[in-house]
Amino acid sequence: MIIRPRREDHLVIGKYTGKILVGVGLLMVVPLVTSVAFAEWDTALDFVISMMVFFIFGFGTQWACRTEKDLAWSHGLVVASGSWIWATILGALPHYLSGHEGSYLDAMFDVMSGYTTTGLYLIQDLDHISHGLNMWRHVLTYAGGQGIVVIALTFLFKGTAGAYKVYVGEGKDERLLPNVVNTARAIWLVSLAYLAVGTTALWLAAMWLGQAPVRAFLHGAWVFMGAWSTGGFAPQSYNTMYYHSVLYEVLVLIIFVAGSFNFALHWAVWTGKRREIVRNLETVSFAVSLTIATAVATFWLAKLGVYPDVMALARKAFYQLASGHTTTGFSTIYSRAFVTQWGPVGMAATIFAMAIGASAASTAGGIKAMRIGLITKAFFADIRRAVAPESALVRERYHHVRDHMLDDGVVRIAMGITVAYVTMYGVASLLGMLHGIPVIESVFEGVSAGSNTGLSCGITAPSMPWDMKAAYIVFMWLGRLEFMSVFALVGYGISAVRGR
Amino acid sequence: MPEIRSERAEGYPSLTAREHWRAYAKGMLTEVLFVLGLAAIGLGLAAIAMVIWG
Repeated sequence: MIIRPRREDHLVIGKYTGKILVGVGLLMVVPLVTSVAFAEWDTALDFVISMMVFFIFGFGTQWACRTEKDLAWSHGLVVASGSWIWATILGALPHYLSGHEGSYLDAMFDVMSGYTTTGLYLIQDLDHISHGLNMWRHVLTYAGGQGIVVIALTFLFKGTAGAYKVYVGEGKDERLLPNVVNTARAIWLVSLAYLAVGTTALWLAAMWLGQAPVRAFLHGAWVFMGAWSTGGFAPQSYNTMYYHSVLYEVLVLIIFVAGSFNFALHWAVWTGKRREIVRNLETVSFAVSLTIATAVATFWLAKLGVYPDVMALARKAFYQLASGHTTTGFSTIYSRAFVTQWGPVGMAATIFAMAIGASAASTAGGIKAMRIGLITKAFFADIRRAVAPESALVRERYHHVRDHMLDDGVVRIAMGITVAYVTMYGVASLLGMLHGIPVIESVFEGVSAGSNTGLSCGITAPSMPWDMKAAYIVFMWLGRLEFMSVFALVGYGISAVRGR
Repeated sequence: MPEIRSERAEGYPSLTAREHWRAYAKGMLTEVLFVLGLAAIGLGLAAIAMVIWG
């Protein structure tokens, strides 16, 4: 039974939503400074207007919802999912004001795609947008990868007892350190260290490839943000194919695969438990499924004779598959090449990789390697139980930072979320089919949106039907927040109207 | 790095203290090597595929 929320519940939800909106508004300082630095005055004005709107809503909501009450679990879930909607509606302003979007819905699509680290986009004439807007696209995907709530936790919550409840609502339920705010800071430490090293490496590589220093730096920073967040946004419409460089592709590959690791794994490896990377169930599961998907696609493409030599085949096949499996969405082939060159088997291998996704509590989307690993272990444990003597007690363990017992509760939760993802993929695919799009293309695009990957076979475009755009926004949101907090928001809305 | 682990109970007073950076760098290097290992598997699969069908 859902209990009708009382006034105090509305107030506490409003207060914390306001805090998070202020945090997101503050992020606009980065693109604003970029716009001013490059004398893009129109873009700078767009960001000033947008920041004002964020602050009016953020501070206004906090003022209107003054309360001393702290968050309950249900509040945390509602705040997390609701904040993403408000941040999308308001965050679309600079996109819309730029004149590069066909409609406000298109602008919201791009912003939700950024926050959810999906990488699909509808922005038009991407190669000629301002530096400020490009910075905003990449900052919001970097911030979205960290988690909007993590940002607020780090800078605004200051150890609030209820902060952890919002943090869990955003789908990051790993505590690296005893204190949730310090956990958020540890996540930032890992991300910022990679930002410094990764951006520098990409900057130097781009200069070596012939880009001017300032342009190379901007591209380095933006591609890093797109890679680390497993977002897939890039400053050019050709995505990472634009650079035509093995070196650049290897650097980007390292960044996006590292970005797809669980922050708990990062922290374990960074604090001395280096063997964790080959013992952790998530990385083992990820490595196995990536190898399977790569083998299928590679053998198929070799049989078709699409690529002339080993290097070309490895560069194209492994890169797209790793990008798909980590739910990054970077590509070094044209979108339509999935249909015209890779064919149904190559696309099916990519769909398999995208659907699974990478690690939980990371920047990646999809079902997650951990859940696939748990379900696989439970499956084999059941087989062992079936063939073992009746009196035998079959117990299964799995390793994630430390050893855990594989109990039915853990498997049930993993199965539940997996079923929810598969159902969403099915609905997303069906929607495309209802619009007359071929089955394999509908499934590819639907899974890409729902798993927050962003690889496209050419369906996602400004000319896409409005209902598909709206539905994909919802799928991206559901996929990123892993259902629970979105369902809590829906339940809250229903109970506010008619619940008891 | 036991000295880092021992700080857990104290809530990590300083995550950015200079003595942690060596461990952090080794951690980052481990992750890079792991990704390069996966890429090597991809290259190996491509080589096998081209030997069979190329």
